[in-house]
Order: sequence, then C-alpha cells, then structure tokens
Amino acid sequence: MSEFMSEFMLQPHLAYNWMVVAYFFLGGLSAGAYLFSVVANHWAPTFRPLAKNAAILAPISLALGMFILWLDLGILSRGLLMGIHFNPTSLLSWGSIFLGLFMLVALANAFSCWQGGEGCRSRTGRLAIVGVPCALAVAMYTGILLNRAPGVVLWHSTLLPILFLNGGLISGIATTILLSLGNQQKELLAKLGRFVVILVALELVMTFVEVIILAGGGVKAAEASRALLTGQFSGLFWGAQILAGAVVPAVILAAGKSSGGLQALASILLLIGVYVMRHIIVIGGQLIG
Amino acid sequence: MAMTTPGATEQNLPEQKTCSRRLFLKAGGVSTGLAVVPGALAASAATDASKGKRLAMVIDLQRCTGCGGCILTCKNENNVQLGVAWSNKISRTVGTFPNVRYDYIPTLCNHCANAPCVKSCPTGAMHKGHGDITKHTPKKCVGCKTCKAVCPYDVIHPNAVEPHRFWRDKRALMAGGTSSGQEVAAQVNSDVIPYYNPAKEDMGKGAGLRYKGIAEKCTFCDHRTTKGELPYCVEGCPANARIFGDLNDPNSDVSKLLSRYRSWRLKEELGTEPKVFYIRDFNAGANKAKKGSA
Repeated sequence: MSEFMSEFMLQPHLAYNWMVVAYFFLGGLSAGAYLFSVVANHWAPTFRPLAKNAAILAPISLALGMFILWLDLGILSRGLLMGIHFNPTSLLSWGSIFLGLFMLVALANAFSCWQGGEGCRSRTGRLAIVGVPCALAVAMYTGILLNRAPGVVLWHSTLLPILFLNGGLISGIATTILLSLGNQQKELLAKLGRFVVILVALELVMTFVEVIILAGGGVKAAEASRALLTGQFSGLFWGAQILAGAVVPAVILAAGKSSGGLQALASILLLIGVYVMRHIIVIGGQLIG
Repeated sequence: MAMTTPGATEQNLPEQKTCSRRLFLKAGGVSTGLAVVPGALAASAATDASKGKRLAMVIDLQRCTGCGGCILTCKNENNVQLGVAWSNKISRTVGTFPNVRYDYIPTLCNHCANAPCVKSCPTGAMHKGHGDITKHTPKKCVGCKTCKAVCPYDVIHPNAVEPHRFWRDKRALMAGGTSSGQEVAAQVNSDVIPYYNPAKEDMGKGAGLRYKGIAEKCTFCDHRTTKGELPYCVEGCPANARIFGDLNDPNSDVSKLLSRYRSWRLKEELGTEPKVFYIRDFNAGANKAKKGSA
C-alpha cells in the first residue's frame, strides 16, 4: 500500500538532477573546445590542424547540452519564456543571453573552419572578439549560479567558476583528441596531450585547495569536506575524479606515447573525471549542503 | 473578488493602509482629496488589504503542541498534492537517554525579505508582491527549478510531472475493495481533487491547481490576506500558536511579540531575512522551580 501511495509522490528530490550535470558538462566542453579552436587558429599554429575538429565540436556539444537541459523542463515550450522575461539579478537570465550569443558565434566559427580557405583565419579572428568572452561566460556562469545558493557550502567558492572553466578546457581538448585520432597526427596529439597535463595538474591543485579550505571553514564546511574525503562521496571523489579521471590519464599523457589506443583511453578517462567533478559538486552540494 | 471588510479582520488595519498609491497620486498628494474619488478607481485598491504592509508570522513554540494541524489545514486550503507540504515541520529527538527532549518546529516559506529564489528566478516568476510576501506567477515559470536549488529552507516544490496523480488515477487502492482516486473525485463533482478550493484561482490561473512544469510554494494564503483575512494555517491552529500581522505597524501583535520576546529565525546567518519568527520554547514548563537544582 505504501508503494502504491509513493508512486504519486512524484516531486523531484533534487532541484538539479543528472540532466543539469550533463548540461554543465557539455556546456563547459563546448566552451573549452571553442576556446581551443581559437587558440589553435591564432596563437598556437602548431595545433592549427586540430582547430577544425574543435570548432565543429563546440556547437554540436552545446546543442546537445541545451537539448538535455530543455528536456529537464516539465513543459518544453516554457523554455521560450526565458526569451521574453529577463531578471537582471538572475545568473540564469544572463547565462541564457551568453548561451544564445555563443551558440551563434560557435556555429559561424564552425562554418568558417569547415570551409577553410583564405578568409578563414580573419573571419574566425573577428568572431573571437565576441566569441571568447561569451565562451568564458558560458563556461563560468554555472559556477557563479551555484554560488548564489546561500545555504550550500560546497557551492560557496570563488574557485568554482575557475574549476568549471578549467574542466571545460580539459574536456573540450580531450574530446578534440578523440575526434582527431584517425587523422594521422599522432605526434601532434601527443604534444597536445602533454599540454592537457598542465591543465589537469591545475585542476588537481584547485580541487585540493578547495577541499583544504572547506575542511577548515566551519562546522558545515568541514562536514562537506569529510563527505568528499571519507564519507558518502569519497569513492567517486578519490576513485573516479582524482585517480581514474585525473592522475591516470595525466600519467599516460605525460609519457607522451603516440599510441592511438592510449590517447583514446586517456581522453575518455579525462571526460569521466570532469563529469564526475561536476556531478559531485552539483548533486553533492544538494545532498550534503 | 470580495471587498475588504474592515473590522472583520483580526488585524484591525489602520485606515490609510487601504488606499492605493494610484489614488494618492490622483489626489495630488493631498489626503483630503481621497474622499471624493470614484468607487471604480478604489476597487483595485480595496481588494488588496496586504498592500503597503510587511506581513510576517510569529510562531509561539510554547503554545505549539506539535499536532500538525497547520499542515493539514494548509493542504485543504491550498489544494496541496500528496507528497508535498507547503506547511511542514522539523521534528527531532535531541540528547542521549535519559536526558532527551523532543523538538518540534513548524516550517513554511519564510517569505524572506532578501529572498534567494526571487534573485535567482530567470523570468521574475518568483517575485516580491504586496505585503512583501514572496509570490510565484505560474504563467511566467520556466520550470528550471533554480528557486528550489537556491532556497536554504527546502520549501519550494517544482512539479516535474502533472500533480494530483492520485485523484486522476483509475486504480483502486485495494482492487475490488476500495474506490479509485478518480472515482472519489467524480463523486464530489470535482474535475481533479475532492477538496478543491476555487478561491485560490482568484490569484490567477495555476494558483488553484498547479500543473506540470511550474514550481509551487506557500503564498501566506495571499487569496485570503489580500481580503484582510488570516492565512488558513493561522486560522486553523487549535493552540493559537501562530500570530500573523504587519511588521510596519507598531501596534500589530507580531510587532508587540517581537519586542516582548527574544525571537529567532531559521538559518538567520545566511542573511535571507526570513519573516517567520519563532518565540519561546516547545519544551518550556519541563523545568520545576526549585532552589539551586533542576
């Protein structure tokens, strides 16, 4: 009988579920891929052959992320209300503007890179003037959005937007590596892999700084840090985020082997690590406060 | 819409509170001009008794018996569905045997003066309304659930699926033994739920029966307070533990109680400025008066 009744108690336990986590992941990935394509096109000519894949990846992953976020709404057409109403104190309102702009720029950028040719660099360069700030905003606003919840210590960190941006870059570049494996650019990918190691190291440093600060930040914060280090989320944190999602792929990539299989493995592990990091922050924040 | 009935309320509103700003401007700021303003203009003002107030609730824990009557009356008044409680409680046993006590704290939306849900709502569906209450406009709600994510009190309930599933369901609780939810609803000629309160619809479409894709929460019974009536949980509390009124009015019972007793609010340290205050203690009277010992 209680099972019968509980069927009708269908209020979601979590405000932000896996769909929001997936959107955070894909949005960050998209921004990271776009930023990498701009850097590769304009400041790091070594990586220019990879710019096209990254540029095409950006709008696709963003569209997928927005699609998942859209499915999370109870009534799908209500998403349009975001376009009609605006609340200046709402990070989500600002985020939606940057998302829209970034989507347009990412599409145009992808189209330019797809076409290639003479004008490609100047066109993508001009797009980057709008695109880079928008990409940074898309990657980071989610972190600031979470900061707006006064009761959640895990979300109360200045590092959060930076962690999200860094995670976005890691996942964007890792996916670019995955997409470029068939392109006979093994040496180039190995070189890019070594660059990713720097970002992963940064991610690890920031994560530990975050946890150390949490551990000393009052009763609730200490509780949250214990949940990560030894409690409810310790398996995911140590096993998936730190070991499998960062240390192992960093070791593989740092070795600089040009084996496609190893590069693919490292990239997939990095993606898992970035996803789990977002999962722990978003879901963990709601469960442990 | 019912008209205000001054004197019938327990608030005893000061006379000037019932006039609208529109009237005031019309009269050029001269209060003597108010007497000759046509009734048509006065209608919109007269229907909202909460205008210009800062509505708040004081919960006297010493009077509270922990019966949960507030939770039930709220469900009846506001068409609240199964599994959701706008009016809720925190109950816990504290201490180690034999030194234990039972704590009971009735909870509801705190209608924070500095509400995180209002600041975070991307469309302004969650907003501050008359009486400084935190209101929700269903037709503007996207269903993003950010209000729930940022609310430190867990009092906002997004409807991910169509609510009131039980009363729409054709299955019987016990097959062949009981009627189904839908049959019960049909018996009382209700579209959806047997205890439907049409007065809620005064506050706009979706205020009565919430639907899939929108959030819902306590409204301080705005369909009652705008008419100068008390929220129904206040009305329904058998112990008179809930006191409701205007913080702007120094003569209101809430203002007087808050000056008389030390009060506290839930998670005050977050700076949300909740407007549900707690005074005195649920366990008062358990301590016998005796010199030097307990």
